[in-house]
Amino acid sequence: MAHADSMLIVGTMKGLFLLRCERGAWTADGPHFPGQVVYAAAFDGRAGRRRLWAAPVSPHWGPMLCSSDDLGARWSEPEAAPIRFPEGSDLALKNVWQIALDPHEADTLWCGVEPAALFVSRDAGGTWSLVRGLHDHPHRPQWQPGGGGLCLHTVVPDTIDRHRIWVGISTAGVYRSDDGGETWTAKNRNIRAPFLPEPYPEFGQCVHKLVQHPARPSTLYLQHHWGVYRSDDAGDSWRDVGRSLPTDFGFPVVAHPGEAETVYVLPLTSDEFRCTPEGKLRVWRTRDGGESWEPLARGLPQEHAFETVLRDSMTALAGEPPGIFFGTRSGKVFGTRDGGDSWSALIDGLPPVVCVRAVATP
Amino acid sequence: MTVTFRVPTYLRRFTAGESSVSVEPYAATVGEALTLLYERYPGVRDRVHDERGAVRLHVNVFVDGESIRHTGGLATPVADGAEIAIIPAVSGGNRKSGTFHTLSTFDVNAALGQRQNEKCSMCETSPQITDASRNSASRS
Repeated sequence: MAHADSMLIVGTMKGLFLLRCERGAWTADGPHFPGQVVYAAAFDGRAGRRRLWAAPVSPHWGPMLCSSDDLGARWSEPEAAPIRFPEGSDLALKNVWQIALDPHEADTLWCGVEPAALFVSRDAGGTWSLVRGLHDHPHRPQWQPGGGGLCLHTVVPDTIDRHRIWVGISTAGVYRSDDGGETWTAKNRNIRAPFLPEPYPEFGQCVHKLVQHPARPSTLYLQHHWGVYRSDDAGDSWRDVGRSLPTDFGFPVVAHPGEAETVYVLPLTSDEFRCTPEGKLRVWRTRDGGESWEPLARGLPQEHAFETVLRDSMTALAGEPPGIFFGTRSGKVFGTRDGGDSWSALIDGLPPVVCVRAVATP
Repeated sequence: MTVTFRVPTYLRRFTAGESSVSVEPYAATVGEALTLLYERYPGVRDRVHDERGAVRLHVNVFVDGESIRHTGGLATPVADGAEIAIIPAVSGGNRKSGTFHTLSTFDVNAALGQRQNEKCSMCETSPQITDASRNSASRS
């Protein structure tokens, strides 16, 4: 399996690692930010940049947003925290959960944070401002924290419509803006919320991950706390496409970069036992848009593998061939370059993995 | 009057490597002394405080050995010649409400049998008397 063209950015509970494949063996450069939790990372290769982003959180000194223009040799260390809630909000940043690049504006980045809010930078990450339209949404006082806190963990700028953006919030659900973030509407129709009195509420769903399919941008997929959903109308309505999966619980959902009906999830046993079922580490793939699912196990441990893979710990890499990669809470990273038919263990022994991003080697 | 800060290792990257920094506050409070420290070394501020101005939960500030959590917070008076130590809390602790309540001198004091009836001024929890805090107390 050829990996020499890719680099993995792996955020863990104890720092950030950069994984590269050299002469068939994977090496881990790190830890960067040792001892700090890194839930969000990104690589910005737009407009000629070669910039790594990472959002380390020190248990003592708080969260920070850092960048590197030399692939991690040196990191910026801003004197003042670049992402901060405005005075009078009585809120304090706990964590950055998502760093997203805008596909239309090369200097625009988005950050989803905890407590749940969206920040935007229009100058390539130099300065950041709170997206007021979402922050002032009348639903916000009723949003409730999930097990990971009240976090805006997913930001999906539409690859087609430059004014459209989706966010995922636990637990509030999916919200969409069609005007660049000025106004927002809850988009959770038909998503079941059995933990609430009303099973299909307007908002309050515990969305775990949301993805726009790169090969069919009109289609979104969503891993919910209960079930996998698909929308073909930009989130206006959803339908459950996960009924044939072994369980309805899981965190990541990843779309194949080139195959319009291919999507990957990694089911966990249940809400109460968040490990892979039967001690077998298996990715599940659909190649027909969710009509049917098949387990992918070749190369993955099938004994005593009670693993957990979190919402941002699985990712796709466009290319020929494309890659799918994921990391586990036990510090293992796996990858495939044949669409999931076979997997390789890339590295073991990292701290618990909470974020994986793949980039073509810059 | 002059007070002197003890700067922990991590924060020295923002104090030009200085482990000891002296300032001359007028109002003679910890808060004012910190403000003077931040005017000279602005990178320290956001590591010690969140954007609401609160001292971060797992950062302890001591004035001549007394934690300001028990002496008035940032309004704690400082005397001429006082030493103000900024010290990261001892790591460890238990999960509570989705965040780590880090073992602090507060818990260590509890383990030593002191202030057992107090509650943490930051989060209203009672002291965590654990094996870890006992061990830490025995080391301190």
